[in-house]
Amino acid sequence: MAMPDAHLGYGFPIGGVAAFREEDGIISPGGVGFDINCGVRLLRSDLDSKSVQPLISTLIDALFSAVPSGLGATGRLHATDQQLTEAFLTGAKWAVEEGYGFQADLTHCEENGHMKGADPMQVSVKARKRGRPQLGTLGSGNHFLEIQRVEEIYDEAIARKFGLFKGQITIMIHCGSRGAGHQICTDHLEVLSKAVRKYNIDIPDKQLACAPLGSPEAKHYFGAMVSAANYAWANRHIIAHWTREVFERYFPGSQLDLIYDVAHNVAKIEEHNVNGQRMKLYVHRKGATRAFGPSRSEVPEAYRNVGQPVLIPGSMGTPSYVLCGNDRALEITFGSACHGAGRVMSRSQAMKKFTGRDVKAALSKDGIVVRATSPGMLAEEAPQVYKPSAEVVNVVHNLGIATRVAKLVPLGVSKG
Amino acid sequence: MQNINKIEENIYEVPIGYRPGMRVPGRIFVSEELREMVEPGTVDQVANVATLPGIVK
Repeated sequence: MAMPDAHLGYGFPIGGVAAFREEDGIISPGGVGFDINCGVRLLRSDLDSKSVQPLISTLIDALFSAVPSGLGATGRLHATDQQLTEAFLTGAKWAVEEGYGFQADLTHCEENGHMKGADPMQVSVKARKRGRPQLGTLGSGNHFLEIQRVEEIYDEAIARKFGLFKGQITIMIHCGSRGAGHQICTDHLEVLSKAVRKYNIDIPDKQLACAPLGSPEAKHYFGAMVSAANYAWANRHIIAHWTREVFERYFPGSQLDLIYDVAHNVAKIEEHNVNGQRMKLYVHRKGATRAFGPSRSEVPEAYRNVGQPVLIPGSMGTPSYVLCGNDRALEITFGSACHGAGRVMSRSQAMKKFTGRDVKAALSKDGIVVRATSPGMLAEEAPQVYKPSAEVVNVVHNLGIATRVAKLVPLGVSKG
Repeated sequence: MQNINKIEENIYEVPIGYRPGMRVPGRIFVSEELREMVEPGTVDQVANVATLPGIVK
């Protein structure tokens, strides 16, 4: 199935959800994507926009230097091989043990920031080599670190549960598993292409390379994919920590609490009702957000009676949205919602049509401060290359999958 | 988006038979406005995924 922001992807559409039965189904890297556990984390501050607005440029500059970004960016972290293995195994939990972020943050991450089933032995030397220096970096493309203002509250009661109020400053971090995830996907696609022949699976497109669940190939991919997912949670945890340090420098005593952290690209083992029967399924979400309602025990305690926060990042310069998962989503989408706006124009088309300078000028006219490693990046990510995110969110809201809670507008963006 | 059926507001179905081998119908959740922006290739991909073994929907 495809979400309202769906567009063409590798094998599976981006904005796609597919669930396979454990006993006769498959797992496919194309259903997860190259940036494994690309996701979004939202922090709420106790600051209002009036006190932050005058310092936006300074803050963005400080964040831009505190959090390394760009395509091949390497971190301030200098992780050892052992630390990398730990990050693969226990994700954000490892990061907390290393002194990044707080224990309490973990309950506000999907999977508590560390998914079970990681098998770092299935991660190639090449993937480790790419991943090690990049731990604690934002990356490039549509990834960003944004200072936002809560522009509008649609549902007061749920907003209060999430700790959101009008005029409040929030921070959104959008990034994933960097080169490690990309390499893991590439490596296992090769293995799974062979598995398709070995197990005689009839696929209409070679990009749908997959392996039967229970086969060694499927187990190996799953173990490697979970490792990348954990790496991404550690990554966002570390970036959030450095963000908190920057805020502490300019607003001593200010509080940045984690509202939630969601994965957009992941395959998970979940139980769902199918035709009245409880079934174990491998749910692939690629460019889709889990949107569990109050009936699911996976929803953190603080939100148990309303549903999990569903975070929909805007593109550069456009609003982001906070929604709340509903039980209705379990009936029609295996508890899933959209993940963003979805591209309508390729990166190369965008580069022909826009210049980074014009994009920056247009954003600045709207009062949005942007820092990026290259002007080309700004052109590729011009707001016009995406579908209107408000409409995408409306569809999800109207279907009853997730309820609109708040609209966040960017004040400053640090881009890769 | 052609050869797909609107089954209710914001829900479209890619019927079995849209392409050979589909085990279940595909679903696309989209409004009238966004419908025009869905590339034909995306619909094909939804149908392709529906041919994979063990798919529920």
